Amino acid sequence: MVLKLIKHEFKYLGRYLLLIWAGMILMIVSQRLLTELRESQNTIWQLVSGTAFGLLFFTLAAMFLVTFGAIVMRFYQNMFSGEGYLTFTLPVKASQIVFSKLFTGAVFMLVPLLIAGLVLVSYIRAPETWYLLYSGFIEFMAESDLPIYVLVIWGLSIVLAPVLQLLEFYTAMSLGQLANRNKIIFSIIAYIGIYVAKQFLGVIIWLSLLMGNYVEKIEMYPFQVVKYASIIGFVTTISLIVINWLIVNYLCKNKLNLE
Amino acid sequence: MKIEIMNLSKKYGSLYALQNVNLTLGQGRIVGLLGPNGSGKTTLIKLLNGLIQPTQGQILMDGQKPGVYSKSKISYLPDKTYLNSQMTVEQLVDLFGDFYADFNFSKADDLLKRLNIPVQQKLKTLSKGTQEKVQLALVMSREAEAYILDEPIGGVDPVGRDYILQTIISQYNRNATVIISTHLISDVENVLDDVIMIKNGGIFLYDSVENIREREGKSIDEMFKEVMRWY
Amino acid sequence: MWQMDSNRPIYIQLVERIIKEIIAGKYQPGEKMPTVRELAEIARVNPNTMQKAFSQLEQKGMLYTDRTVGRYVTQDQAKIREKGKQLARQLGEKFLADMRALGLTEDEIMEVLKTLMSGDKA
Repeated sequence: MVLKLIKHEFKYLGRYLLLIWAGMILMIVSQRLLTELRESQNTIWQLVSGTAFGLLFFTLAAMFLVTFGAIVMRFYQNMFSGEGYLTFTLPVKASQIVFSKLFTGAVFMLVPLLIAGLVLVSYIRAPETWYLLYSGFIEFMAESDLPIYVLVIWGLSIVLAPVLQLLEFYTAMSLGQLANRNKIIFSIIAYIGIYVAKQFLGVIIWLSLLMGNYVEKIEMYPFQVVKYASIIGFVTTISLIVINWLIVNYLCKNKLNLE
Repeated sequence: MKIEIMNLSKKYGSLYALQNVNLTLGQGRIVGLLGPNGSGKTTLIKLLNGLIQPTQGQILMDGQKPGVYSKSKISYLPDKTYLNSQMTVEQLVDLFGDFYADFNFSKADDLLKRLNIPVQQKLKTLSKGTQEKVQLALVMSREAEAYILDEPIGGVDPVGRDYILQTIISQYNRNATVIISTHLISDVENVLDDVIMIKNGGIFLYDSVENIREREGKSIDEMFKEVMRWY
Repeated sequence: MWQMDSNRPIYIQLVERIIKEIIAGKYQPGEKMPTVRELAEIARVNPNTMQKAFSQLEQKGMLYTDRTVGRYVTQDQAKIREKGKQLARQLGEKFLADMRALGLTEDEIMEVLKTLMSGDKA
């Protein structure tokens, strides 16, 4: 059943986003090509190239935002608008519904990431640069004595960041739909609340860590701090994902307020 | 499907939308759920569909609480547009068929053809009346054990209404329970086996149309209007 | 859609109508009746109600069931004629009662009848 839900999410969002992405990728490619003019002697071309860089950055950022926005809007419409009457009477569990949307959203968010990565990589021309990067990386690992799993954690954190961000929006909307009127406004308020709570939580964690017996550790090797910070950050992200997941599921299952 | 409702109550804040409802609906009956706005009809329907949870009491459908199983056996028609209007009728048929094992594709094709619905078009391009017919066709194409129709003839013209009633009759399955919630009583009276009259969160009548007509010598519509005056 | 009174049980009215149609020859003796569902659809009534009407008609001897093949109109033409006479008599009684309630004499009633019937021929 989950697979069916995912299939339909992909179909629907895909149809919509593929078109938008196609247009944006065209813009990105042309902007990227224009930035090649930076080598030129002509000031006009240099200006064009400079503008292109700006536009390129903007378009890449827009691609992230538009993708994210589409995923979030789809969630709201399909769960809490009139469509909710269909979604929640399908013979599936609420958790399966939320999971299918989260999964599809996470996968779709990888696309702008991939495009941005490709653009970045496209600036590395000479094979020597690759070797330089590689040897620099090896040196870094040797000097810092960071265990491999820290790199794994960093990689996972990049993938999980949009997941958490999506979930936070989902939580905000699940809270917002509790209101009888102005659900969207309440969702925004809820999101602000979540944001503030998260910042507050972050401050508390860091303060307690600093004030605790770990003060001596500041004087230790800086990469140790990086290691522990990465672990703490990762654990926090996972915990927040779990907490948000539980909240969304609880609200959808028990406090659905369709109108 | 056997539907048992026992001591069912639903509270919103300090207000009871439903209080101590007890009902048992047998199979193969077409039941009218009649009551004014705010009577608890919508709440009851949402509870039957597992969209909300009871404050007290329980609902058992073939012995099970509303959940994934009951949803696979109940075909629900809400009283609003609940389908994604960006989708074509074909895509919606595909969606229903994918999720509901009891969806009958040939029945759906037949119904949509008879209703003259252009299946390749997006839902939003169709008139409101046609959209409602699409929703009804999809719901009635399932070989479900229970059908819950919320105001199926509400926003439709008299010709359309007649057609919808005819569809309900023709799709009738003697093992399935059909619950029709409506305030247009006179239009559906002849189609109903039993009626449930609800007001202020409580059931004050559950009897067969036949009994009521024999006893009162009135139509259900007339009787309903009279009784409502007293409550 | 069949016209019906809303203050009397439906199945009784269905029975009455089908009997009238049999008498009128719409359904011939020995002819196979439409199914409960078909007729219910035409009449726009609940199939259960139509089913009950059919059972009543069987009890009255106007229809009979041939195993799982279906229901048929009785072959008993005498019975149908008898029923027809019964119904005619009932209608007549009502007509007379209504006319008399208007205060018409027997002769005046005959006049009305004669005019109506010759009017039909003209």
